[in-house]
Amino acid sequence: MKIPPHELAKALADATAHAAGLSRENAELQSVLGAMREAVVAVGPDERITRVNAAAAPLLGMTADSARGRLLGESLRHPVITRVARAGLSGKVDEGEMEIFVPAKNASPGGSSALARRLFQVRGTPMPGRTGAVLVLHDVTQLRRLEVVRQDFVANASHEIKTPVAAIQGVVETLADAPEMNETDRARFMDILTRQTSRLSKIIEDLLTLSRIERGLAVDLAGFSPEPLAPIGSAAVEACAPRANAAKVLIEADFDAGLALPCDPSMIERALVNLLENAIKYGGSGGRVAFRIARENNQAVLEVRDFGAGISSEHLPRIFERFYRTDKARSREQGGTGLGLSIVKHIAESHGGRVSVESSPGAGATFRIHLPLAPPPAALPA
Amino acid sequence: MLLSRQLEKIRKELLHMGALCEESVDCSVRAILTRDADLARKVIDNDDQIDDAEIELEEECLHALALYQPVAFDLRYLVAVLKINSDLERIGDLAASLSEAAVMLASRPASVEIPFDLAGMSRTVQEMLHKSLNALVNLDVKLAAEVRAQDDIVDDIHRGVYEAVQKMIQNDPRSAELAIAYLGLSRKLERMADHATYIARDVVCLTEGDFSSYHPRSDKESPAKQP
Repeated sequence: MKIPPHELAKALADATAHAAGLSRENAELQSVLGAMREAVVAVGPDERITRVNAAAAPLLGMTADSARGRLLGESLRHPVITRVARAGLSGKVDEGEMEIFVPAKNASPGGSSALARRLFQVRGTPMPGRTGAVLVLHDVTQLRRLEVVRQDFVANASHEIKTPVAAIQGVVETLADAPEMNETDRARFMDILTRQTSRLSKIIEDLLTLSRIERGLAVDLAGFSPEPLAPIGSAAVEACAPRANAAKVLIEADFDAGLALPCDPSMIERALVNLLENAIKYGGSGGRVAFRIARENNQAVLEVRDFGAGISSEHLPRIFERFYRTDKARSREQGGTGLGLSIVKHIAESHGGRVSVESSPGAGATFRIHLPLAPPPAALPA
Repeated sequence: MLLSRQLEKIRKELLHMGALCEESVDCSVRAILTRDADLARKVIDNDDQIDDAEIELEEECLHALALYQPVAFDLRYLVAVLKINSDLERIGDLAASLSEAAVMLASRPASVEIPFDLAGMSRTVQEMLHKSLNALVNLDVKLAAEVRAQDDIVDDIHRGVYEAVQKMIQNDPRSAELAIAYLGLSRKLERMADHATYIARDVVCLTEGDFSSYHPRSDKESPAKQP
């Protein structure tokens, strides 16, 4: 049986065109997958990985090429992803959530293997003809964290406002029911009224301050000339002096007199007063507070350190959140609004800086405001 | 070819077992930290699943040994899997036992703070378990060594907890019940870390073919010999 040469040539041309089309489609598919933020992992019927996209590679801790052929469980080990993959392989769509260790982003190649904990939504879809399953992993760690912050904020804010209102209500009802009350009792109730209304107004004032800073985020620093920081520090110390004296706390100030940067002095003072007041209130048992303003590299560092009970590590990541309390009963007793540190953080950020905290139980706490200094002209590249 | 198919099955089941254990440990710790008794009960219920997985995996291994007479690496692999299997099962038991403590603690007032960094300690233990299983998957001796180094950290933490708990009881003898429960948490985590370390050691033996260190397994102080 002989095939005429022209038919052979035509078949060859068809096949070549077909192959070119396929490889073009493949390249298209690759770039579509590569552009996705979600990690995509395809597995074959033997639960071995057949294809991963660029976003998946860092989760597996290896390049896309070396991941191919490995068992899914060797790279992503969690009952949920196994379940989802097996459902996909048996023709069903399934999804779930799993928290797993993945190689940390800043892991150094030769060093010890740092791990990060991340929360993923996983969705598995079967491929046609049960030839495999596609798994899509969506990192929801940050999303979930923000959700918790928001829920806590609403719950805490309502609680903080409700407490003084309930107290005021109680006092007002008592006063209304007892018109013949004697002077001393009346004075006591009036005192409660004054304290609770001033607390309420303090909370509202702090909330307004916060929203004002947030709205006008990034103070227009161009409008401010460089302000020396030492006088601002001194003003903050002065403002806190009565409180410090009452608590028998010594404020040891150590300022670099030469430091100056463009800022809103009243806001910086407010932030420093908040930090000093906290140090006196919660770290006062140490008897002293170290207050330092110094230059570190390209930053001005405003540091308030106390020598009190310290803060345990689980609170540190959330301590700058609005209304976050490390010890609910105690800090409310101390008359705080729960907004002080949040205000400090926002003031620092509105000046292009940031805040940080270091502490361990029993070793006191150190709060820092880092503000960027404009690089000196000489340091600029010519 | 039949043996390699059987080994593939064993590999998958071992990974599944490891995944179940990692999840149990994670949930049991979370149940303590968030005082979530329901989550703790789920871990306790799930322990049966781990026990079943252990029995099944053991049978598969014995099956492979009896029917296919594996030699060299395959034989060492099956022996290692048998050992690692029982380590994982013990870790599952310890997670269930942590969960029982979680149920108890959730029923007590939240006012008494845990006198040590439970979250930090369990994070280290979870990392060790994760790394030991990764070391097994990739036959990564270096990663296995990291696990052993972390075991020393956990032992130190546990010693510190012992002292903290002692102080807690001295300060307030009424807190003795809770103090003992807290010491138990630390003890269980420390045992988990030991099992993760055994897994890491088995990975080294498996990879380097040195059986001598299989023997003094109970002797925690002497590290496996390196050829």
